[in-house]
Amino acid sequence: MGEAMQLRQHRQFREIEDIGTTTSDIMPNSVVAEVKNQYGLEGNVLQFWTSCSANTAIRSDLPLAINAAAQSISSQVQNLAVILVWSSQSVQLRANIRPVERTNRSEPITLPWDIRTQDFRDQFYSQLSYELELEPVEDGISHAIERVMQELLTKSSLIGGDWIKASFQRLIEENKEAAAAGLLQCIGRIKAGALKEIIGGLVSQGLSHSSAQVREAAITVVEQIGDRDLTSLLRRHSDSVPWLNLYAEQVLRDLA
Amino acid sequence: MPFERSARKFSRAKWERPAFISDSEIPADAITVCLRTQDNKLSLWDCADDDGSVEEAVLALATGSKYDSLEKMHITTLVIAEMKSQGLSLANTPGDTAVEDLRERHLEVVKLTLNQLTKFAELMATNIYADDHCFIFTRKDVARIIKTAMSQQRLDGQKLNPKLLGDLSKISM
Repeated sequence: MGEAMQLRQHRQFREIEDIGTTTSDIMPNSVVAEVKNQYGLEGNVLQFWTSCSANTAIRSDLPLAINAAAQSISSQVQNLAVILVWSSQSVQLRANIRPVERTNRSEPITLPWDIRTQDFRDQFYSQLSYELELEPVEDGISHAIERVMQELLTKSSLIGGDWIKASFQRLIEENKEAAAAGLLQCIGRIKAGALKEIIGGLVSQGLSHSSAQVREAAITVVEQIGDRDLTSLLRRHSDSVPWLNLYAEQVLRDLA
Repeated sequence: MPFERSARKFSRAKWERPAFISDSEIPADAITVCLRTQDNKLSLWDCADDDGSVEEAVLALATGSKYDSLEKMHITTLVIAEMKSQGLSLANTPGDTAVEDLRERHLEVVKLTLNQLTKFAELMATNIYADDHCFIFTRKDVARIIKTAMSQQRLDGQKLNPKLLGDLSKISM
């Protein structure tokens, strides 16, 4: 069953219309304007859901686009329920013209922060970086960001996983290597099933990073989780720093 | 017989020199993160110059009240006489560990000033950059050490952090 068909079968979305398609990371303002003009709406989004079928190819960067689009629209449109559907090639924003009631839909996403006034993904990132700067992650000792991540994943495993991944990427891009290493290490500690899809990519990126502390954190994640895929990533890794190489060898020995 | 060395848990990656730091320098993160003092003190555990004794220090550390995630541990051991010859003040104090017979093996470098902290860091750096008296205990090593102590009745599992106990139960030896 196609995604559109699945969505249309939900009673509350009978009046949904496709209102735009884009492959850009951020929904263009023209899409927002179209919604507003077509339906004469003002104000804020009440709720939004994301939806994808299990076999849909998900572009890894799309959740960022979803967040950006939702926030963009939230400042301009009232009583609008928005659904963002994505495939490997496009992002579609679908909206209804009436307020949406809570339904029996299996996974409504309750956003953890007020999307009307905050860039919630940035707020999550700020909280993580603040906690990591306040208290560096130490081997064997729990860190506050573990709880922050777990709370987010409880609210929405799909968005949570994507925000955590995006936060790691952003820390790397901003050359906050100690914080990136700390985040990676804590991701390994919480062992959330929701992170299973992203963990391989993070470990792979961590192992190839120029900073020894990021590489060490990646090895520690493999050691914590120890599944076959991660172990094979580590098996292919050879480290330029002797003690890290020894650590990796010992981990592989332990996991054998 | 008094112990000749003392063990310090550390974050080895913090001591790795980025390209902009010369071979004679110590990265600032090593000092500000890895050697973060409290009340101008740093914590150490007495040990001898043998692997078994270092494992005792690991046991003491891994059964401390703050240790709640079963994870690897980096340890380096320093010669007590060298610390004293650098003017560092050492004091034996009861340690935070669930293993009763190790509590007295705890000591602290006390009354630390910036100069003294630098001297302590230089002693550690000598070990670390020569890869001498530096040890990595993997997660499984730490688990083995704790479980052995429990099987020897030296450690009451109920005194361990529940999260750590949960981690331990998932490790097969």
